Amino acid sequence: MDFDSRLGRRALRKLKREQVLWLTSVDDRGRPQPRPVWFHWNGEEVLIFSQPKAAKVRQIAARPEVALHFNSDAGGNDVVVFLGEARALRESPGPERVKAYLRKYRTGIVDLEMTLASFQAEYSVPILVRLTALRGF
Amino acid sequence: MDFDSRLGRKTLNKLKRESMVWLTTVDASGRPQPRPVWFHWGGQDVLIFSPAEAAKVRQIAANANASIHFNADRDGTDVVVLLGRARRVRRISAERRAAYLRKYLSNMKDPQAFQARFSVPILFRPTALRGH
Repeated sequence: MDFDSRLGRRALRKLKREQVLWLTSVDDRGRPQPRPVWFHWNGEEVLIFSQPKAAKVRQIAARPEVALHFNSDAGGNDVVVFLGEARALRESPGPERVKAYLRKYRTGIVDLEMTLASFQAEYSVPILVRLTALRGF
Repeated sequence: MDFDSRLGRKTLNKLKRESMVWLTTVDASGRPQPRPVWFHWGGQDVLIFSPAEAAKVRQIAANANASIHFNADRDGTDVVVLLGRARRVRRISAERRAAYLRKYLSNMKDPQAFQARFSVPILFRPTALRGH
């Protein structure tokens, strides 16, 4: 990924600052399935945690091609869309990475009336998305 | 589509009031392709106009499965996603076209030029609703 363009710099800022992005995978009937997710960007890949039985885990196992985008503004401008390849990990993405994710959503997890432990137990499947293309305006 | 639930009523509100929606299609390699579009809700389906050469026109010709969703709010709540099928139509009624143009009149420098460029009407018919 090249973040040197004007769009790239804007995309990078959003990866660092936004709370939510839309992850779209494709189901086994060929239908696009978008949903908002929490994420952490470490400069290399986007980390998402999922419940093990969630549809996105099945969908990316069969079809790793996904799209990620942020909310646009109300007029449909400020558009940042990534294409990427998603994979669920069997192992932890590493304690530092998990810690950074949990730090980002400390308040959000409390708002869900969960503890860090119960959140990690429920959202136990790490998914990494490698970004392959950027579009937007 | 049943809009009688609480989520359904919220969806209907957004379909009537929002000025843009994300249309996601699937390309020939099986990748989802989202982009924001202008739209008009006619009570049964969502009308979108596209340039004839745009990727979405090719993509729905090959795979009619599509989804529509609105921006969520900043923390990811207020989520409305419609699954459905999109198809290119040959023509659209004058009333419907006028309703679309009325919605976006203040955003258009030149409605004639807009119609010449965005010449392909696409109808998206929702079949399922998800959200919270």
